[in-house]
Amino acid sequence: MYLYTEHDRQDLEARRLIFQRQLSRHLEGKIPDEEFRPIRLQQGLYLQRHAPMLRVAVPYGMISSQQLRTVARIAQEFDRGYCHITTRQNVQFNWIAMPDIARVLELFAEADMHSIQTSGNCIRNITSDAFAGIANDEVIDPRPYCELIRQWSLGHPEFAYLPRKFKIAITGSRHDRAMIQAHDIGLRLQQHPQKGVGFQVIVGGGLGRTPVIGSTLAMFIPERDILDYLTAILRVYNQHGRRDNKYKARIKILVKALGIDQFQRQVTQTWQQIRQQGSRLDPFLIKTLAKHFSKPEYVPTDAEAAALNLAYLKQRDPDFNKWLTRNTHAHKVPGYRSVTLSLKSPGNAPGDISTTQLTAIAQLADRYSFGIARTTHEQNLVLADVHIDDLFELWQILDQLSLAAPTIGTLQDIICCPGLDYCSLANTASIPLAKAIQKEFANLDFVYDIGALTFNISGCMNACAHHHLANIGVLGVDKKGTPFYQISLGGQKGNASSIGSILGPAFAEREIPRAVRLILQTYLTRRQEDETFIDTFSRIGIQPFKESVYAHIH
Amino acid sequence: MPIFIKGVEPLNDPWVFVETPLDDYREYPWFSVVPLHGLADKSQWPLMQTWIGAWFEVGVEYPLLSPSVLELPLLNITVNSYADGRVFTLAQHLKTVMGFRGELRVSGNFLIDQMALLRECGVDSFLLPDDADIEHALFILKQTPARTF
Repeated sequence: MYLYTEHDRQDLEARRLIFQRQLSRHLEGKIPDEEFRPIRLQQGLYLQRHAPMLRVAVPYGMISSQQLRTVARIAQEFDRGYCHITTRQNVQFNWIAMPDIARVLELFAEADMHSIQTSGNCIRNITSDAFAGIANDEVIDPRPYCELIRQWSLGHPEFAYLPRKFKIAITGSRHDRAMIQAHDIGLRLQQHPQKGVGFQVIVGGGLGRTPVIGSTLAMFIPERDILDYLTAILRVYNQHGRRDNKYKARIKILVKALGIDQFQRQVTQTWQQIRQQGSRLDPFLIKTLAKHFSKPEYVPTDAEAAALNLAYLKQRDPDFNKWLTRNTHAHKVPGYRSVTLSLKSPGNAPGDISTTQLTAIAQLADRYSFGIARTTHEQNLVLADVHIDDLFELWQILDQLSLAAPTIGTLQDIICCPGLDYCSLANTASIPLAKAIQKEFANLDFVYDIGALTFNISGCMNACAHHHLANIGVLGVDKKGTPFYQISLGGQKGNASSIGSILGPAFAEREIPRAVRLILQTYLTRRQEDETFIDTFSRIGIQPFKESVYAHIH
Repeated sequence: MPIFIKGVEPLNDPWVFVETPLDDYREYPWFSVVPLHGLADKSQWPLMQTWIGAWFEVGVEYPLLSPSVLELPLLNITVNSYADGRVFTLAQHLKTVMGFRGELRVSGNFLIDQMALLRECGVDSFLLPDDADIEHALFILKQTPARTF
């Protein structure tokens, strides 16, 4: 992973000291709340229901064992013994007292971590594929480019006060696992036979109040031009994005208002202006960054013998088999698999992780995966490079740590925002509902029969849990002080990203598990052969689900 | 009296900010920063160019920033709201795309904490309210690291 240079550390330290001073001045009453707001937000500091919420950046999900230990220490000493993995691969703390913030940021800085630009109307943390560098379908490793764009966007003077927040995601694989179509800018790396490495650029995607699947702005921008091209997009947005209404301020609204062709013309014109200054990237820089992501020292393996051993263990232990099937994934390198550590054990708030678990994962990363873990936008963690001979032992340890729920990619693997339990924006609770769904469908045989399914719960229109892109999405809405939940069906992420359709009138919280059961029964009744839920939905549409649910509820 | 900072030092401001345009350009004192919309009569330009600066708001239409305007020794962007980040792109555009080589100044409702960002976008000088915290302003200007890119 990328290791900070001395220059990076000096830069971070200078920024930390400036914020420390700003924070002190605010606490002394020298910076009023209103003026301090954009400053604290750009440091990931929110004022929430109970205490400030601090969001710490995990650049494109890569986190070292040393950094995990720092996160554990902060959670233990300054929070309540746990923290939360967000749907943008960051780490969030909910209970750090304001007077401790400066010290906490100092400790993070010692581990080359910070909270800069994890909130506010600026370019946020760059997100990517949690399986970058190891996935079988990868064309180009996106991480050097993620790092490039991270460095370019960090402290960018021109784009620190945009009309609204700005999110960029990058994938380098054939199958998009970074939700590039649901970001302000989505980038897909490509290898062109003549032109070399470049990017398909998608713009104007996003969820929230107005969900939009992004449009392709350029089919191929050479890697040397990517920063200039991004500058051009952001420059057009910064000049023309709406500032009069925060609900209309995202770039998706500008793209929609202008139309993609007109928006493209403006970007191209701006890009040409920038190019005249001759600021194309030095290819040496990309090569230098790529060195940070070179392959670890994989152990050559007799893959056949290892596979035989694994087959024996699978047969001997059905629980191991379940975990191996659902929670481990193919790897580019023979003899290795990547392992997803589930943060969705029954009863656990999705994405929450304790100090004990963090400390243990740091140790496991050191022992089994070259000292690095990854956060996923599904609110889990990944150990990317595990030798298959180590899988059984690792599973046993993870099981003891409640990190081995064999349910990745199933109904139990719920993506869920913090909701009303913590968030000051939320309309409704979401964690209790996630727990209720997990309890209702605790029978793993049933869960496995349902198969691949995404289930996301957002506590408000901001859609932090990405419910629009879920096969089954739940949105909490407030009706005259009473929480209700709206269900949408048929959303999906990936190459065929689509926004779900609303099933019908919203339900009371207690009705949701039954409604979900009726939806799933409809799927089981109507599915053909090996169809997944989304396949069946795509074939039969929403009507049969609607009829089934509202015949019994409402 | 507003505080004037150029570079990283408070200085005496040689320029006088004129809020509203005068009918006869000859009435402007030397080193006046006058409203851009008051410079409509181009016949006066050759006489004025050495001792007149122009001010305009962040939302100025780019075509108004004509080649003649870009020849002035000083352009002053006035900011109505610190949340209006167009000022950063406008400053960048003036300096790097339009080729303005004079002094670029910002006044109005911006935050002291934004000054280093503005400087990186090409702003040369700042007009701050008379009760502004100069020490903090200079700290921000001196301590904010320059970006690699």
